[in-house]
Amino acid sequence: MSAPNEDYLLKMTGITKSFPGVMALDGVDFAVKPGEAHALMGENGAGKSTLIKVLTGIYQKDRGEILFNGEFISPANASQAQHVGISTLYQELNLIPFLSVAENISIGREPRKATGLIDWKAVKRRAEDILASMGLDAVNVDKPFFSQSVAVQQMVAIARAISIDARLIVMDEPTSSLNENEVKVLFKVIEDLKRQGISVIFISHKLEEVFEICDTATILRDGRLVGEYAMRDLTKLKLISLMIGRDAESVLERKKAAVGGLEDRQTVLKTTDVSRGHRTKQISIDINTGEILGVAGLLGSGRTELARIIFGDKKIESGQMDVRDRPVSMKSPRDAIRLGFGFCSEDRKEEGIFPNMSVLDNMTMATLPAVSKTGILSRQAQLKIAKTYIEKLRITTSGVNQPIRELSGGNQQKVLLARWLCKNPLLMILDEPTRGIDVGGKSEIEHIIADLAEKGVAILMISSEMEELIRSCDRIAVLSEGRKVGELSAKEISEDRIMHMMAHGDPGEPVQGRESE
Amino acid sequence: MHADRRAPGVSAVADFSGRYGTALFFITLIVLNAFITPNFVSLGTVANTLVQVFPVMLVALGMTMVISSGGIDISVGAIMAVATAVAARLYTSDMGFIPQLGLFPAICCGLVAGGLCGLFNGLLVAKFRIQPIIVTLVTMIAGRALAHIILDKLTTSLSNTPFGELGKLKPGGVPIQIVMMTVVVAVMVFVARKTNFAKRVEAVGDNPRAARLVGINTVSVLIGVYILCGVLCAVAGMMEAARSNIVNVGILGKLVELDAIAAVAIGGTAFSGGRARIMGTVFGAIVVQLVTIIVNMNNIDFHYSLILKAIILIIAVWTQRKT
Repeated sequence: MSAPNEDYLLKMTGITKSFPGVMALDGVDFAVKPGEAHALMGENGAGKSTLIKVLTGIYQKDRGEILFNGEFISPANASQAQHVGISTLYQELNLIPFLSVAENISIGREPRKATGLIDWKAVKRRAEDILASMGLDAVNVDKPFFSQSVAVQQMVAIARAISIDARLIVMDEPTSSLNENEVKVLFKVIEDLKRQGISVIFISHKLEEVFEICDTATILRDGRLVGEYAMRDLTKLKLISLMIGRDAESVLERKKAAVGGLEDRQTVLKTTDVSRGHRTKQISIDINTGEILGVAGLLGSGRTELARIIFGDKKIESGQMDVRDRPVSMKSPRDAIRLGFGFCSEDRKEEGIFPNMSVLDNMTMATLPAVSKTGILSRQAQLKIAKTYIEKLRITTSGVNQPIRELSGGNQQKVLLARWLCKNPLLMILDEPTRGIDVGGKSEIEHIIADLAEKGVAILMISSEMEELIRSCDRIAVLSEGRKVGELSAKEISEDRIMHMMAHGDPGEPVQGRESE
Repeated sequence: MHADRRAPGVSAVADFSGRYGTALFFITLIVLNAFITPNFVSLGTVANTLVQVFPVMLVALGMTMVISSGGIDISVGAIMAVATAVAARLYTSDMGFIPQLGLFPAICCGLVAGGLCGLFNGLLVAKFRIQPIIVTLVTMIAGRALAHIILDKLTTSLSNTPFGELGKLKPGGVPIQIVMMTVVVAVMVFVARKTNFAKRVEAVGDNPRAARLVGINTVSVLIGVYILCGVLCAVAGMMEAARSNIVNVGILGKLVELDAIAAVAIGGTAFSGGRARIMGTVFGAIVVQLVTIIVNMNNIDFHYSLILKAIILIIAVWTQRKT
């Protein structure tokens, strides 16, 4: 930290920001050199996004200094930050959907003709030049922005940042909706940016990407700086343990020794040829006590529909469901809950949390009939549940009465898990349980799920993250276009086989796949 | 967290007015009234204010639960008229197929009528998923027409009948309206704070999708809310008729929706749904009534009070937006 300021493009010192009840940032230092890709790492709630929001003027810091390009700045809003050369590439791109790509790149500073009218040819030329320099000459810049793929949209956002002479581009989860090839293009663009001396702050849950593209990582934990590291000095395990502040061993894979170990294993749920519309076609699966059954499949393969049918949210059209060897019919989630099912939706915000209600209310909502049979709330019983699970699942909250919307994604998810755990569920249906949650939170949630299975809860887990499924699941059912195309046992599970199944409907030639033991 | 984007001064004012706005406004109105309204500061006036606020209070309490569930009910005035028309018609005339009823059965029928109106609203909102504002607009218009049809004339006198006397009862020297209001407020406070029902209403109002997925029967919760509101409207309507000795289906409960919605807004229940603030509504209703009184007792044209209340409603909802 004693290096002269000239070496740094950005130097944030002693940044402190608090919200009611929470110290979001506590004296954090963060410095970025010109032309480097700098990873900002940390669990959910570590303070990454608060730091970025302070930098880009969305939040005002309580204390600290920001030195950018040799000048002290204190942006009051995003456009001021942009003015000094800090651009943000948010997940939700804030460009104008119905304007063309070219217009979006030049918006607000269109080249003019002598008459004062906009020189549309120049607008188009500028857009094409910039995109071509990024290796994207195939893009039709006259087409509206919204009609482009997410990848192209992002490139356009970057192109716009370059065209307004940004010195620093913040990329928050830029790859979350890109496919592999698109990620490659993005990384090539980042390399180009680096060569031009433009710095990138890179935030991503995907560690491979961070190792691939970044030069330096700054790690935050609980609003404090853990340290700044050169990427070449870090390993994945080391990085994770720094982020979550625990020994690397605890992040290791779940032991699947339990499989077949339990004598009293019994079938909890069995579906036979369950169908509904064109999204779910004759799916048969079974789940045993203490087992984690993974469901793999691409978006639109019918995995979410299957979960919803099992939870009674969507009606079954044909086929049969048996719970503990007895046929059941469910008209609504209430019926499923009575059978002992719990469900965590892939969309926490829209279908999971009650945003304005407290952590306590959110946690006990599903168990109200049980803790208060007379219809009168039992605050004591609610408090007991809330306190138990806040401690057990290590939920970070300022108290049971804090509105859940103020919690980080990982902590919200823990509250939603607790909502069902306190009912001792028979079967948990988890749709993307770690989506949008940081590495540390992810690993914690994976541990919670593994613990549950160990206690005998049957778990149906849907995830689009192959690694997560491979780490957690005892068996994986692979869906494709509404059909189950196959199932892999623990020993057979490998990324190659799952991919092959999703693509071709069979696991491919017996490869020397990686054994999970 | 949104407040962070504002200048500190603005946000402090907004914070303060959000938290203490109702109380502040309440005190201002009382002080203002004390100065400009003749004989305002006397026990008689206080009692009178409380008696007059009765219908607005009951309707506003029902409205609070409806708004907590994420809905709105603009048919409250019409429900008051329908319920009262049913009770008065059965009470005052022999309809052939139904004999003339005594006071108690007639009132019970009025309550049932109010509940049925609520059931109708609730079914359309919950089962058929039509927007509450549309559903209750329909009930508001058709309901008032139905009240005319049921009563078969514009007005019916209740003078010198036990029904009329009901409005003037003073158990222990306290007007019956005040007694009933106290009981209803106490019950509603209990319901809102201590029952699963109110928690479910809040949950449905906050996030209906999530409510279904935690096993809440959103249909029956919503129907329950509208029925509760309808029954409270019925009580308000019948007591108002009893107090004034007359049932006039043309004006009974007319524009009460404005007062009730304003009371809820002032009381701080979020219009997007969420926690029902019963005590807030109680103060809100009194505030609204004080506005009416200022205008009435100072010989200002009644229509000014409507404009004033409309402005208050806008301000109340505006200050709410930040929370």
